Amino acid sequence: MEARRELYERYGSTMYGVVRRYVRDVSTAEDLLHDGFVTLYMKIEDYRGDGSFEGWCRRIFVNTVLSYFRKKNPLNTADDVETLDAGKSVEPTAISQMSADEIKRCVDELPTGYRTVFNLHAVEGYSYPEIAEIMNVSEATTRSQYQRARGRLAEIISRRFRENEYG
Amino acid sequence: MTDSNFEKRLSEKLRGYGEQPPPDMFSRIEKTLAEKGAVAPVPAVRRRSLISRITITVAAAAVTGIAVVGVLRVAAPGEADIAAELRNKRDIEKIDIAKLITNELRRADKPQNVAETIIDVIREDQGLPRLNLLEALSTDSGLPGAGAEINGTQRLAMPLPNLTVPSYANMRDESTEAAKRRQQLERERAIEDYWAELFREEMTQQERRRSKNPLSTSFYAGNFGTGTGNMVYNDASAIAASGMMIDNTSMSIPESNVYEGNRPNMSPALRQDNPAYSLKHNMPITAGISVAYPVSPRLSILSGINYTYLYSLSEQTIGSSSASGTGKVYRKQHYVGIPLGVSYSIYKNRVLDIYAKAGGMLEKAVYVSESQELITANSSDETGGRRRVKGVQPSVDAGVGANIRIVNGFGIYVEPGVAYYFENPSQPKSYRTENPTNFTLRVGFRFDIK
Repeated sequence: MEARRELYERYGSTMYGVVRRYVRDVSTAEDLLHDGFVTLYMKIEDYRGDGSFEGWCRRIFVNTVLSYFRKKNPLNTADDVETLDAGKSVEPTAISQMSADEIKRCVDELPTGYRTVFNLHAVEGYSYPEIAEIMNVSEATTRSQYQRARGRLAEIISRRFRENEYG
Repeated sequence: MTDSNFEKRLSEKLRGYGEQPPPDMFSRIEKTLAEKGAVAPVPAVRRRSLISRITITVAAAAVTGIAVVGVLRVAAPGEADIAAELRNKRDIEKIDIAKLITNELRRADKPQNVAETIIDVIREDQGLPRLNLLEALSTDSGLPGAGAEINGTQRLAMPLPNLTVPSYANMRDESTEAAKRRQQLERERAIEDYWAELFREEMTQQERRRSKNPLSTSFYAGNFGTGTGNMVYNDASAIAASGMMIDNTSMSIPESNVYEGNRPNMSPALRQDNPAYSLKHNMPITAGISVAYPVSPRLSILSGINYTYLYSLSEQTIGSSSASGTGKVYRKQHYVGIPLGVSYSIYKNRVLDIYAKAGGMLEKAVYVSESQELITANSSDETGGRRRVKGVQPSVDAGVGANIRIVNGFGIYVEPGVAYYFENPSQPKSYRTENPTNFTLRVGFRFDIK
């Protein structure tokens, strides 16, 4: 138990942050964190030692989130979203000046599908072919969805940065 | 900021993002693990004797030593994880002893009695009765579960993972593997189907929202009242039918203030030897505001407000050979109408939008004025007044349009079409009443409302 407690204390907040990047609802995120750790403890012997242990843990929690999305009703996951325009530029210092919490709130404004693609590619490091394989879409579609998410995120960050600067 | 910098900085910020879980999360996890039988329930605190504590400490040290020596000796697949964990761990005594024992038990060359002793020590520490390990491990029921009696003691669940494997050799159950693989494939297929549906649903909703927002508004003008499109008559009957014959008996417009119809009002005084008549109805001039409400990516409902100006002029020579002059009757009509229609986008790209539209309109004459001017060699006389017109003028129209997007949210458009004005005797004669089916042309600019 002590080992489990230490592992939880060492990685709990980080893994909760991983889950919260994908899922906006707090109670759902707590459930997924719980499920992720249960899976982690029960499958800890599957860790082969190749790659970092933290990276292995991240994958478990990301897969837990993806399994949750699979069970959810797709019609309830689409969020109200404005037209996505790609290609917006961001103030060069915006991201540096904004905290991780603020950046995370910007990501929260993306719709579920785009937020997931963005997290998987930009943060977790999944490649386009891997994401396309997970989601059964073409690689071109994954690329375009990612670019749209990226463009929208740039808009959101710029807007929030200006609001904080002048507001 | 370059693309790679943007993503790199975002990734750095987000990878470092963490949130504090709820305080009771760990106990929830432990409770779930206990329910699944993966761990032992947390026992009640029991006072241990000094001898018991010494025994546990010695046993723990012995196990640790055995585990370190044994695991370091072997690099077999499946145990590399333990080796790596041991090498990386700073506090080696915090290694999960149960997990180590499990892996040790897998090794065929490990004496069972050593493992049995270790397990019994741990069970005693946790308040559980001693267990005959060989008896427990020889069953096919997975974890040594409750129910059977061994050595006179009720067997309890053994809090050791992986003891579900009856044999501790590294043999795998092929049928289990195949079933697991099948389940994995089904799960992956379901995930793929889900994401495909999710993207399709999101793209449909995005297109719907893109068509819903923005609502578009346009300002237009059309059917300019100049050129060869005006209608001209040169006979008295047409003028009479239009109600625009000169009346010089009282030099005033007929008494009735309500225009109930076009009554010929030829006065005997107007008879002339060779009268000349002309009546001209100018083409209508329209202007208005139109609002398009998208109900789907291609279909929009149209409405707005429309203004139409109608102008008519009759001229006639009057009098006799002894006293003649020119009489003119002017009629000016101002209509306001509410159009209602639909528009369907035939072709659309970022710059050009070609569409077809159809609809109808009800117009009300809000102001009609008629004036009469009588010009003779010696005098000039003018009278006039306003007329109230009952009823409405219904019409239908159809056409096509082309909108060119100049900048995002703003464009200019042109809409040629055709309109039909239904006959309504209550409406004064005009270009539209004399030519019910007529060509329309609108030009305007359109902008989006977000």
